[in-house]
Amino acid sequence: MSDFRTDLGKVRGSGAAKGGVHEFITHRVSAVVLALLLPFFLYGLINALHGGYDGLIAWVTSPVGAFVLLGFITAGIYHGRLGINEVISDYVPRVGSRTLFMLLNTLAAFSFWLVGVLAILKIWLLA
Amino acid sequence: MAKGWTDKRPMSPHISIWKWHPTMLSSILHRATGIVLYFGLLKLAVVLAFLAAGPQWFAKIAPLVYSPLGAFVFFFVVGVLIYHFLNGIRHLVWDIGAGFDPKFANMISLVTILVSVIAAIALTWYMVGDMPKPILGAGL
Repeated sequence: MSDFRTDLGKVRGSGAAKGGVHEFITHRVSAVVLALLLPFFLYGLINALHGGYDGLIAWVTSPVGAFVLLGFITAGIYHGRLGINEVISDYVPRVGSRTLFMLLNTLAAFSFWLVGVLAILKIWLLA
Repeated sequence: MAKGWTDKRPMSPHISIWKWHPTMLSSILHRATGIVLYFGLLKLAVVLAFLAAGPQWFAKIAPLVYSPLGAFVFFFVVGVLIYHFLNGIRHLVWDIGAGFDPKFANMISLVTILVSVIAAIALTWYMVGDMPKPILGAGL
């Protein structure tokens, strides 16, 4: 394929996105974490749902359940935040609104992550 | 467009005229399911908060969880989750440079969709069918 990049572009070493290596790699690392956790998450969730309130509490207070839930919600929201940011940068053309949406996405991701983690820790520690 | 088209040569994409490929469908579905799962995770955090708030708070959302609507949401989200999981593994395989043969890629796209639908049906069947009835009312 012909090389269409300018000399200046090569010196600066960045494409249209100006960056993203960190996001690219951590997106995939979190994907691996989620793929490893998913069977345990689904198994635990289905078992816990069978037990109603007591079953769900028993799941969150079990060491394996707490580990899987904390890992899943942390890696999941991290992975999801990167994915949604990618969607935003694909479809929102104006820099201003793009930055605003990405900021809102990051705030939402952090808030919901904190809510989930605090809930798990509260159940786990007070059980 | 494809109707009455006798030319054997590949058609060039022409603005809004193209043929649907399984790989195209699975690519679009990967992004769509990813967006759905993000909201699913935010919902999980909210449900955990209700669980942490105590039995009287969980009782407020339990009728929603243990209902036909809850079963449908379970079916939908679990199907979407398994699809994104399987197709995500495909993406990781692509990252190491394998799995790009068009025939195989088309085949595995359809298999991935089919397997996730079947797995979602099976897991929902297990979930709903094996659900102890007392949970639906008492014990909360």
